[in-house]
Amino acid sequence: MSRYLVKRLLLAVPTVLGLTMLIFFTLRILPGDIALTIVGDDANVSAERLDEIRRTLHLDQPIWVQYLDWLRQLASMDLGKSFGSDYPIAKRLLAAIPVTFNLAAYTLVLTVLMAVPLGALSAIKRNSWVDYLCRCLALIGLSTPSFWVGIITLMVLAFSFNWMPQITVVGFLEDPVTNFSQFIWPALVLAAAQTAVLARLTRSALLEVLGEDYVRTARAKGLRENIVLLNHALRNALLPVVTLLGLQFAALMEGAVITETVFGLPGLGSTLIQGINAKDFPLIQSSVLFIGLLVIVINLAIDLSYAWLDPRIKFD
Amino acid sequence: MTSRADALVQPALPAARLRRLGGLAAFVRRQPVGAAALAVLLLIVLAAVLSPVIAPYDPYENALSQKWQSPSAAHWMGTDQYGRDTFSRILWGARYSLFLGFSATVIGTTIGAFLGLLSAYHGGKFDLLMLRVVDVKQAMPTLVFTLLIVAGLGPSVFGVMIALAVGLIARPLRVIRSAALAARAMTYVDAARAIGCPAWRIMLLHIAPACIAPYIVLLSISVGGAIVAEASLGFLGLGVQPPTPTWGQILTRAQQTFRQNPWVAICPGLAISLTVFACNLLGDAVRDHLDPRLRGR
Repeated sequence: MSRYLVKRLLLAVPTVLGLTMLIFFTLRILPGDIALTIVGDDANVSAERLDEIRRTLHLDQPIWVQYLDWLRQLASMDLGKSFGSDYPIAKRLLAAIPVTFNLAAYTLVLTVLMAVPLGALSAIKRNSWVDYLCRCLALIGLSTPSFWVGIITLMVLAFSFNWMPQITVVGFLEDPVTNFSQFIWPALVLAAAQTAVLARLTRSALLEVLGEDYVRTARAKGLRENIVLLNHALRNALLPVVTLLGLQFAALMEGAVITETVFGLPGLGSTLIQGINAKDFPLIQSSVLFIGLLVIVINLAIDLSYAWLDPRIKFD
Repeated sequence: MTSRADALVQPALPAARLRRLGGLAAFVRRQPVGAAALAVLLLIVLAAVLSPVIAPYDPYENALSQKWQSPSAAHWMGTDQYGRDTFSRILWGARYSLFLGFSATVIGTTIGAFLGLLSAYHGGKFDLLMLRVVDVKQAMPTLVFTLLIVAGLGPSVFGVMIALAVGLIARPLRVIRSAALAARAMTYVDAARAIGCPAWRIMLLHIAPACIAPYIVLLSISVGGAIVAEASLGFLGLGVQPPTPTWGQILTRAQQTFRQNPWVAICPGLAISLTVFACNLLGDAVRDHLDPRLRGR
């Protein structure tokens, strides 16, 4: 297991390196001048001001030198300061990561709690009105933009309970109850879209497993149907579901960017949006990288969970 | 001059045309839900195209005395904080949202398909590079990648279109690459190579036709996502800038002002959801009609 872990970590290194190259060179090869993008439509900006911006962002250096400088900063965790302010980027991102992680954790738990029963019910009552209703709900969940679901949720909470998002986020270890009340609604909004995708897969996976010989044998032995489903069928059906959960984490982060903005959570997503609105390119680069790193880490954790789910899988 | 090999593998044009017409009728017969979704989508597109004619009010005109109106006979979906008719703004917004969604889908899917075709035919280092780039890109959420490009290009119609299109390249590249690899292994491709066909001719006339079905499926299943992505950019204030109405942008304001008039928050979201729902149903139906093996990609 530890050999597998080391191997996976080593394989993650070129992925992370590739990610830094993708982010860095995407910004640099786009048409236009970053310095001009920052000043926008200001016709009165002088050439000296543009040169000053380029010097501050090291845009006057050769592109490879700029990239290696950024890698050096990442390795030493000194990400520099936000453009236009003296606030250290590393400090800002380190404060934002736990918020996004908190939201993602609640969302994953809610997604599994909602999607697995929904998909299982749909599979058990195949081609009945329950099945069609579940599949219809799943398609509606896929078609509805998460930011609109977030706005409607805010509206219902505001009109029904006079609830508004709080300005300061409380950590889970600090006060679990307040933390739960702050994150449950954005997590539900995010989980709605994820549930739709996962429920469909759970349904397909369970239908496949229910047709297997060992399930027929378990029924023939006289086991109760719920024992057959829970102990024999569902556990085997969960492996592709866990795989998709990992693949869906990137989609979850997309939703998190928007949901954090709707609910005013100071996570990585809203930090990225603030960086884009402020045209703070150092912050934009680092925020995008950290979001990508979070996806890689979560996928690694999910890979490692396979052995617990399926003891036949031997890590080598 | 047409080679004999080409004449052997390509159907005569009139028969192909007839099959295409028959294909549409067969699609309507076999996929009634998809056909209904197509009809709804065509209605929405028609409404968007005819919006300058059918919109009851000018979407840009302020009428502060009419602000925060609830739905009524005069204003079917109410008015916003500037007294602008929401229904007219949604109709006009459909033009931009649908145009950007469809064009970004066509551009991104076509570029991805072309790169996939090249990657499959040439193989070697180019193929390896393409696959590694796609693998790394998968570690980054598509919307985040799109936001990165919008940050570089600036929020504008051009910037949004390119950003959305680039975000859509990875999946068609993989899918078309797979289809092209299968076609490349066929005997007729070897035959074409043996009689001296140049590489571009083999790719376009012998391998590409095998990729048409998955290409069409990819187009149909990607449109819904592209429309949502465009609306998301508009909602975040990074899409087409005001006063041009787009669906996402209408909801940005609505988020802050729903207490005054909740209908401004409800109606644009329903328009987006209905359009994307129709696109998803159509995409599923096209996939089931043309290539059910693509289910799950």
